[in-house]
Amino acid sequence: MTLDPQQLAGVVRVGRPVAEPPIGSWSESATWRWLRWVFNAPAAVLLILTLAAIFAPLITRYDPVTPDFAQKLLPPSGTHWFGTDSLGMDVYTRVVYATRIDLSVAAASVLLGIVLGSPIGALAAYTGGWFDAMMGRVTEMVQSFPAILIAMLVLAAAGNNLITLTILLGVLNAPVYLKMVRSVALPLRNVEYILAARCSGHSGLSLLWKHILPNTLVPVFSQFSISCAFAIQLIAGLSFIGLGVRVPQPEWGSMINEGANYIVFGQWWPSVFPGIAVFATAFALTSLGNRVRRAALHE
Amino acid sequence: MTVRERVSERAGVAPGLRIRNLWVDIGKGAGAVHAVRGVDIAVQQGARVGVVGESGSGKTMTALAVLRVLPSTARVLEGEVTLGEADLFSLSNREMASVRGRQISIVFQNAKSALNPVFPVGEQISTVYRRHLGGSRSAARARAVEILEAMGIPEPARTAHLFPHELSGGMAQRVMIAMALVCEPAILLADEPTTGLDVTIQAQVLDVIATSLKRRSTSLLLISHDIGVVRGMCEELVVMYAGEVVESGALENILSNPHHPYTAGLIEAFMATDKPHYIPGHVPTLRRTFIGCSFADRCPLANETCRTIRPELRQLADARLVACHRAEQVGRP
Repeated sequence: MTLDPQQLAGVVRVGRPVAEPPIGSWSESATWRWLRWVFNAPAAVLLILTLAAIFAPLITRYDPVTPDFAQKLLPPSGTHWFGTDSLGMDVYTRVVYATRIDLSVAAASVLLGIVLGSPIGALAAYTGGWFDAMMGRVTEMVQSFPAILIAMLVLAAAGNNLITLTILLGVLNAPVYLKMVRSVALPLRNVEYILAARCSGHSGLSLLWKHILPNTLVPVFSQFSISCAFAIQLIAGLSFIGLGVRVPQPEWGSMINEGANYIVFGQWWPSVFPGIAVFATAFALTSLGNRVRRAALHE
Repeated sequence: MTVRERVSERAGVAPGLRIRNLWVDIGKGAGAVHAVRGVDIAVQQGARVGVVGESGSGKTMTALAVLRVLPSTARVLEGEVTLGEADLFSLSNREMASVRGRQISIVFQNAKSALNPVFPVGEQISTVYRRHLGGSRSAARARAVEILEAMGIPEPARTAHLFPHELSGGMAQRVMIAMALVCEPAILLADEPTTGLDVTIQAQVLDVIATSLKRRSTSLLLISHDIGVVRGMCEELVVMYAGEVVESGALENILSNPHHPYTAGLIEAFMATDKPHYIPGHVPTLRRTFIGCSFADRCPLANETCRTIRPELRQLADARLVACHRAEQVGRP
């Protein structure tokens, strides 16, 4: 009886023999592995978006906020790549400029969340006791409300502008990092190098800052881009219902909202292109975060 | 009075360490482990004292209690630890932190896991230096490289930039020792410093410790289960069993003429060349308390007195201390 290789593949994992690169060769060097790891599809998408945000004036031909009523709702063409919206503004230009607001508000708010949440989380883990318990209850309280609900309330009460939006998203992100850093820092209390650090005279804040906090940052980094994706969706979501960023400022969510009225008339382009931008950004950020997390787990 | 004043500065005489009647419990209530039971150890200025005993004899707990870094489940019930004139248990937490790494340092068994994985080793050493002695970053960095070199590390300036995972076990242990000695402490506690290393590396690391201690007349409290390691390093020996000191005194006296049956068994087990030699029975659980001698169950000489009356440490003619009713039958006079 001969063995059918395809049948065999079902039972035994048949792998192609891989030529082992010689140890120490450049193709297996740390730099190369790092480069190969960094340049992947999600990272490429984010790189393009970042470059678009920085060089927006160089890669667009129109002004993002000047209406031209003679040119309204034109379909995509050679002169208007993504068409024009109901006010006659170029959709491509606005999608590109929107990258600035969406990316920077998302990144700033998540950074704020990290700066607020991480030290408190590390402190809660380190001190334990009533402080830990209190912080636990506070984060649960914040997290038990739907984020968009809190956002609507706060923006309605405190004024609808970008600064408020950024701070608000930062505060909403903080509990995630507080809990994450706390959970990573908790077992660190009994790790030998923390004991050794205490034995060499580190105590209190210096122990927390120099020895505990830096060792909790790997999961924070992997969560960063996932939080950014969440923040971008929230910004777009809030703008869609008219909070956060207002027309005519270019922002993906508000653009989708503007364009949504015309989809039923077959004029899909004012909302579909910013929709694709939101989707692509959120997807790239999430998969990048997962990649970082997997890599961290591997170590 | 500040700690600096109470603990006489190293410019003068290095202070000695004295542990008196130390009791440590791990856990509470019925399940509590009485890990250290009335331990007395004196480390004179510049002395080198070895502590030997089986695993679970309370050696490490004693060291951690001295530094006041016991795990959260453990606590000191009774006892006194003095460094020079200073009572370490009465210092504030802040004062105690300024003693750790400055006056008393400790080296652990597994250096690779005792170094912070996210910082280069040179930075870890210079941080300790700056924490206690201040000074500029560059001076501290230079000092770190200098002490790495003194520890026999090749290319110290390059090694200072490496992370712990890039070092071999022996190198990591040298870094750990460098970190412990960078502030020139009065006393070095070494808890099984070479247990995880190859025998050849062991000897090198021990040599590094011995040389650097001699240069600064630093005292050493070397904890080990290996009599061979202790014999090469120390002049005094403390033998611990079941959380108690059973025999202590001059190392050569004890090794050549043990007066406690446990010490005798330990030495025999170590010296045996023809066939494995062991002490019958097991280390007793430290949850229980002993009415008589803690070693009575395993002791070939145990009699009714041993099982009913706790032997106190008593001094023999050669100035050694031994806790055994029948010491005179064990050793030569």
